[in-house]
Amino acid sequence: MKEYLNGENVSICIFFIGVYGLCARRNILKTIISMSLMQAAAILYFLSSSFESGSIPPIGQNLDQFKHVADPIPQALMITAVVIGVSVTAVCLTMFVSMFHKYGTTNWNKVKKKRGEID
Amino acid sequence: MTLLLYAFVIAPIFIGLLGYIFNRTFFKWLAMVMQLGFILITIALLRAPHMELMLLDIPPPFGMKLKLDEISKVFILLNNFLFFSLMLFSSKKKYMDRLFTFLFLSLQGLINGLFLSTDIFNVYILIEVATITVSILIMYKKDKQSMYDGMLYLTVNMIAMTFFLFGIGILYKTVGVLDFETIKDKIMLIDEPKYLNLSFAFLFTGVSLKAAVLPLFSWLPKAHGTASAPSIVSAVLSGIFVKIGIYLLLRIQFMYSSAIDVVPLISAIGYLTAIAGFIFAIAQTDIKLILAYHTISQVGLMLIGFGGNNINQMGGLYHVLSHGVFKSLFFIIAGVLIYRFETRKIGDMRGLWWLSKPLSVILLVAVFSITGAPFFSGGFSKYFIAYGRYNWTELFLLQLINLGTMTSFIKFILLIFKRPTHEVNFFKIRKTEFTALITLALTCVLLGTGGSFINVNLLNQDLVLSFSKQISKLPSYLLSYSFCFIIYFTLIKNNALLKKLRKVELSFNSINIAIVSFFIFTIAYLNMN
Repeated sequence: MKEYLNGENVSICIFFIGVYGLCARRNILKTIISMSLMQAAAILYFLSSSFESGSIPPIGQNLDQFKHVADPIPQALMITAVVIGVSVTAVCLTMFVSMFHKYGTTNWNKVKKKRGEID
Repeated sequence: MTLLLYAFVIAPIFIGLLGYIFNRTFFKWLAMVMQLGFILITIALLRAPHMELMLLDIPPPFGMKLKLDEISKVFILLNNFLFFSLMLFSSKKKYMDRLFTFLFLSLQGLINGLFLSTDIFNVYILIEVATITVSILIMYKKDKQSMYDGMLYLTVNMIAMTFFLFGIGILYKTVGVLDFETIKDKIMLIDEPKYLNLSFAFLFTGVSLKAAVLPLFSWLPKAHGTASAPSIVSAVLSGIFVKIGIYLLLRIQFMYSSAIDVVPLISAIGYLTAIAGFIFAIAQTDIKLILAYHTISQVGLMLIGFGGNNINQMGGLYHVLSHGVFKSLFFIIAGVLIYRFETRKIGDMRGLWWLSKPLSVILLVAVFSITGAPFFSGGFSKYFIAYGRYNWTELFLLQLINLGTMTSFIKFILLIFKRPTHEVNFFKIRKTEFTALITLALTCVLLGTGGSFINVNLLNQDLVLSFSKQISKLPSYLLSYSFCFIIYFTLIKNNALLKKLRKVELSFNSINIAIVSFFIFTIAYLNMN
């Protein structure tokens, strides 16, 4: 059982918990939370998939003398992904706030209904 | 010379930024000169060999590069041409303030970067940034409707891109590189293609949503047909932005081609998308929504092309070009019409011929192009999408799609030739607007009439359709159109079922369920083969 409990499997579970939140919850805030959850799962997957126990961080010089040096690419990419994720969440929240001022509800279906009445 | 590739990405953003800081109209004109320069450079480079620019000292697969190859040339040309015409069209509009211009030009640079990049993670980042820019542009007027449209667009597209990111993660674990070409080489070495199924399904789901194929298109009409966004935003979205999905679909399919064969799946999705698109389009009465649903239908047609033989694929690529031009033309005409008639209902607009003859002619050019008339761009590309198909089902479905497209554009013909009921204050179009409209309309005709010349001499594609052959298609075109008129007036007009269909709209949760179902279906399909 223990061997299945690794970062990759956990991240796939977290990803689909996020997907469940998107499919089953109507609250817009919960949608944004679910999106962040999925984003975090992708980051966890990237980092844990290239993890090797005993490897040293790829920082500094003369790394050739070490046997196991961690792959620097996923780490570099994930810093970017974290920044992107944060900005996306920020933009979503900002839009949500201004949408809430216009529609006065946090429910997707109610917003959709009110939007339909305008047409 | 290769530094030009930098300029394609950086220059629009830089000029936009300068324009934002100094707030002078000079920069708007500078941007247009730059765009014109880009168009000429791309045309000059069309026949040249590949161009590459290393972004780091380390060569790929670990470094990054920009590359201009056969496919990206077509997309880059289309992108810069559309942005040039649309900037020209709206150069004197009120909404074209410094922030809007900055966002608009940044979008151009980002899209150029997307088509030039050969690194799948860079593509992800560029799409994310472009999506945020687009959603701000959709909400630009900040009214009630556009808030919902922009929010829906942003969230749904971000969810799709998270699928894409997860796919990149799994792919990186399998092959260890991120460069398109190296991934393709490494995939060839993998013995067991089943290892690739999961990553492919994730990437395919993300990209299919971007391309708006059958179950995943419900966000598109909201975003492209939104009431409050300026019509040039809709034109950019339908003209080039939705093509990003198709471009990536091509890239991904090419990358995995040695291990996974999804060409039949793409073809089948194409047929379904095209048919669903025109059925929804016929049901609509809102001019922008008709056009938005038609984008879906035409995307389906492109996928049908890519799912066929070699000539069909070239036809599909050419259809990307022609659809970009005529759909942008449609959207900006729709913007003018909505402004002048003060309504979005196409039934309430009438008598354009008596109000403005030049605009009527331009609108007719667009209608002829989209319905596939000979000598117009759509006719040329649709001929090659259908070329060499002898299977009865395929021929029947293609004919059905063609007739559906014709039928849904009858409303535009009626808009021109129905007598006006009341006086409308028409029609002084600004010179810049008119130049942009004429440029796009002439390009539609040029892409059709000079299609053979452009394909053979510029695009290096062996597509030749002789003059006599084009003329011989004319009677069948006219006959089909008369048949469509009969169908329209007997079956479609005032059809109660279509009125119900007009109101069909997926909720946010249903859209997500559609995404998950599409993902599961893709995995099941891959595992069956």
